[in-house]
Amino acid sequence: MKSILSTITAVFLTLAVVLTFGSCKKVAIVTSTTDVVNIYDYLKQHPDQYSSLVKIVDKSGYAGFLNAYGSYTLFAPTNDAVQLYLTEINKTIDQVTEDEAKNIVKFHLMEDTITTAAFKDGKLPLVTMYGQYLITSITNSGGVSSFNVNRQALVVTGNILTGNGFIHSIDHVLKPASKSVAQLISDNPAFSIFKQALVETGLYDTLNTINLTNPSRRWLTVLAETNQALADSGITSYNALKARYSNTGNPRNPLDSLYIYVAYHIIPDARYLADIVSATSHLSLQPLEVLASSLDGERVLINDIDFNGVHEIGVELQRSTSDISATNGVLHTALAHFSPKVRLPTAVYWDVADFPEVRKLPAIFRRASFTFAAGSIADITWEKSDAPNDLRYNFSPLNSTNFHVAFLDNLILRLGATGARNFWYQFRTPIIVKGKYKVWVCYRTQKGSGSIGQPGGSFNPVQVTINNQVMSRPVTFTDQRPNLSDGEMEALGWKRYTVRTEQYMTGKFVGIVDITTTDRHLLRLQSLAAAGTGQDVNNLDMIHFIPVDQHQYLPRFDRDGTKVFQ
Amino acid sequence: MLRKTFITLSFGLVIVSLFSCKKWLDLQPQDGITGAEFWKTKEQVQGAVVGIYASLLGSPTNSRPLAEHLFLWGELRADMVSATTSTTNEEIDVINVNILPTNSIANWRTIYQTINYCNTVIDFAPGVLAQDATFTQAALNQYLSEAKALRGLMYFYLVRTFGEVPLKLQATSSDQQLIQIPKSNADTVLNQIEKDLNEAEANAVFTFGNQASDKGRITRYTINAIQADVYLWREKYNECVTACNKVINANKFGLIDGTSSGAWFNILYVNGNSNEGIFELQFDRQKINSFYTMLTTSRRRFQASPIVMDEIYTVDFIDPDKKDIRGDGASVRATDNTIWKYIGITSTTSRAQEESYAHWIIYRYADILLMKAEALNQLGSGQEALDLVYAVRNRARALDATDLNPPASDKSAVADFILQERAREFAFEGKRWFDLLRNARRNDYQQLDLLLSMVATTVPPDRQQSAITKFRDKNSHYLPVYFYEIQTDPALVQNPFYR
Repeated sequence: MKSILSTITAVFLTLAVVLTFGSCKKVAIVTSTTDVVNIYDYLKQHPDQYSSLVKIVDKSGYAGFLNAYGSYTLFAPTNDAVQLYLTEINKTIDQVTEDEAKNIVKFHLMEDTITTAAFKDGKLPLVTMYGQYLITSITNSGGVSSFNVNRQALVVTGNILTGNGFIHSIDHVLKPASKSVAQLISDNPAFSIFKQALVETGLYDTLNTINLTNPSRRWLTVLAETNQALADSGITSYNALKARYSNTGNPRNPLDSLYIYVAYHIIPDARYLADIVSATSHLSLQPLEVLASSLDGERVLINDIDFNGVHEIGVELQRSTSDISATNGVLHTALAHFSPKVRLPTAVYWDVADFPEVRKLPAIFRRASFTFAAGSIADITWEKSDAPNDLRYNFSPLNSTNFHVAFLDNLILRLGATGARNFWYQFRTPIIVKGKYKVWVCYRTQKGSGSIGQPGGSFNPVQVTINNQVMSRPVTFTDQRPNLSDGEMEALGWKRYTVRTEQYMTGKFVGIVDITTTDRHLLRLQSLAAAGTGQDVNNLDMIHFIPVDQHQYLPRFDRDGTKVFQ
Repeated sequence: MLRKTFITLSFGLVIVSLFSCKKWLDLQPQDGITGAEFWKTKEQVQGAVVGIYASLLGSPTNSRPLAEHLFLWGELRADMVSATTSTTNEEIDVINVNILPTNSIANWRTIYQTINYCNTVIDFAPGVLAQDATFTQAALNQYLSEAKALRGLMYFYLVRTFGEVPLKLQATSSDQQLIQIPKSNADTVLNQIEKDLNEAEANAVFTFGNQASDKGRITRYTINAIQADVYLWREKYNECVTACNKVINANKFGLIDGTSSGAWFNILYVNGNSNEGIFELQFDRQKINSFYTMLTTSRRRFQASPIVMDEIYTVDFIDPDKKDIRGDGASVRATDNTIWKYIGITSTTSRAQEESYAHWIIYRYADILLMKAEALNQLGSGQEALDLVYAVRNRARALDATDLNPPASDKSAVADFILQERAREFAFEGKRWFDLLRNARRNDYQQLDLLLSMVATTVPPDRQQSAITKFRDKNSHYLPVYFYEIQTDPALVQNPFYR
């Protein structure tokens, strides 16, 4: 009996134990780190919005990678958008072929994560998988502003975060450009003269092909002139244009001025207006010719520049008819006639102590000395940003007996190859016309220790570099010019650049530079190793760029800046 | 021996435990005061009111301090501040009209904290009358007026910044009171602000008897100043003039003399609490503001935009001694575009970090004069308005180049002139954006162009067209509701522009 009891007890106990374990509810163990789905699953989860798109994706065969790891941005047309598109191409969704589906998906997809914060006025930073850029803008209708993609669709909901990228839901299907830049120009009768010029020069074919072999010619931007713009300049037909420019009679010759004129209107890259205004100059297809660009209020201007103190009025690109995407580039409309300026090399007598930031300080400019901190001057940069290395703008009054710098001012550079002083200074020059120049660095000699003209003491040789091109001779701010005749000095690479006869007012020839583009260039002063720790006070006054075939030591400069031709 | 020691010890233990165990069921927190213990004496009411003011100087939870919020909200979207290499991405996004709901500058938490402190005083202070016999009805009314005025001021900033905000008028003092409320429309909020201010005005004091309290706490004149601003925003010009006149006719305020620009700068901005000040946030050595790191040194996050000297103050190139005293050396250091107002101790020397306690001036007398001028001009009294503008200009020796010389009969020209004068007078005082928006939205956005042409100059060229078109949408003039608030309060609806 006892054993039966104990057996029963044992059975019950076992049962109890088994039941307890069996009845235990399964604990839901979270095995994934997130429940955020990937792009494709997101679309499938929202069939009310994207069921049509899902069908297209399925047909294209891209469903797999849209659901795999990666970083993508998908512009997702809603069901209504797809329906609109199907009506337009007059097909049902089942009639869409696999290739069509592939192209649709590829054009709506980019291989990076891009939020609406990156939407600017122009193209998105990278191409779609289809191979064309998408452009963005903002559209306001009925007081409501929304993002516009490719001027074709409005963003309904932006920045939907999924596991492998962002989805921006859009209200129309995006359609890639189907025409080349050349075709766009030829389709618009307002460009007929310009188009004929393109044809005659042979550049029409360049603009009509997608150049996949040369990546630098894959995208081309054309600033086309309307017939009206040409007529405003007195050119009413192609023949008039040809008569004005073609100097060899054969426009196909790259040396012919008509060819040059047309090539000057082409930029070898995809440059939407936003890109054009973001940089100050663009190299054109015509080698070494530069288009300057600027933004005046809302107007985009080409070649609106100050040259030798004269303001040249620029040509406006019309916003409403520009930024037209093509298969191989962008088309803009220029509202006036422009051509590369034939400029002869002109001497630039550059007063380095005259820059916009100091001009804004009337109490300082040519009136008092001042110290500029690093970063406060746009066109002059230097190595170190600590206070002792700040740039000193030095003023010396008209009655100064030993400091005869031109325009009463100069810059004091603190230079040395080693130690606490700046290793280099970099300046952006005024516009220099392309050509060959002799470069003269003009300074007031000073020695931190020792006497000027005597051996020993401070020694501070500095190398001059223009656009990374090293000048043949260094300039030594501790050396003064020899006391010889002008001719003898020029032969030795010196000149007297002021009217004063003191030897410490020195112009030093540093070499000949070949300026290849009419533009602003970078000039760098860098201490040579022989300078050691250098010295604190190097008085840079002017830098002269004088065409090789022009007079080198005249004019000289008076204290107030007047040029003296004797 | 051992046994005796044991007995003594046990006995001692028993006695000790008897005494020490008394409080073992006491659940009062050790590091704070509970509501049941508080709201007993008038000193506690005073403490709570002073606490509201303290919250204006810096948030206790280390979120962005109020003064910095007011600077960012009032200046970033306008044209007088520009970014540097150290500006944060969020700040650049605001400048570029590229704000997303995740941008923490749109987090209104700091302001609602202060509002909750106000609500707490308004809810609980009346109960103290029954608890503390020495607490008088008059004293209670005065505290309530301070709390209501501050609540009104905070909501006024919110409604101008967000357009529509949830109107929370009861204190959140326990977990049971966490309620989710929807946004109220701008008119409802503004009506409540007016109601608060009117109730506060009747009981506010004219003076606290000392200069620091008169400038740092709410007096009746402060309330009149806020009222004037609210009426101006609501285009109630007669009421605005009346409110301004209450301050002007008190004959207690004046413009600080500008004969010596150094003395003027020192009295008005460096020391603060001047005869011109009406309400200023009282930073001091114990509680410094956050502007030092924001505006000085090479790591500064903001600098003055180039147009501040080029177009707003302008420079006399012929005679450099002729200058607007508010420009170089006061608002801005022209040589490197440093925002100087909160940094300078003289026109050339800057404060040390521990001296960075320039007051944040919310209202001052010049503001009253120019608000009155703006209202008078809208009422058709152009000449009276111009007289006030020239009073402010002459004090500051404004340059001829900035004198638009508008005919008194030309309402819109005078309005433009006043707007420009306000830019000069209140540079970097957190008013520029609200001034622009107020003028732009007048008469159903008649002058939207003000904002469009402004934004064309402030954003980078490659975003210009986008920014202009965004600003054509009125909803874009208001910040989004911060994403965290939307997540935690499903009753909140996002500003449609940011959806």
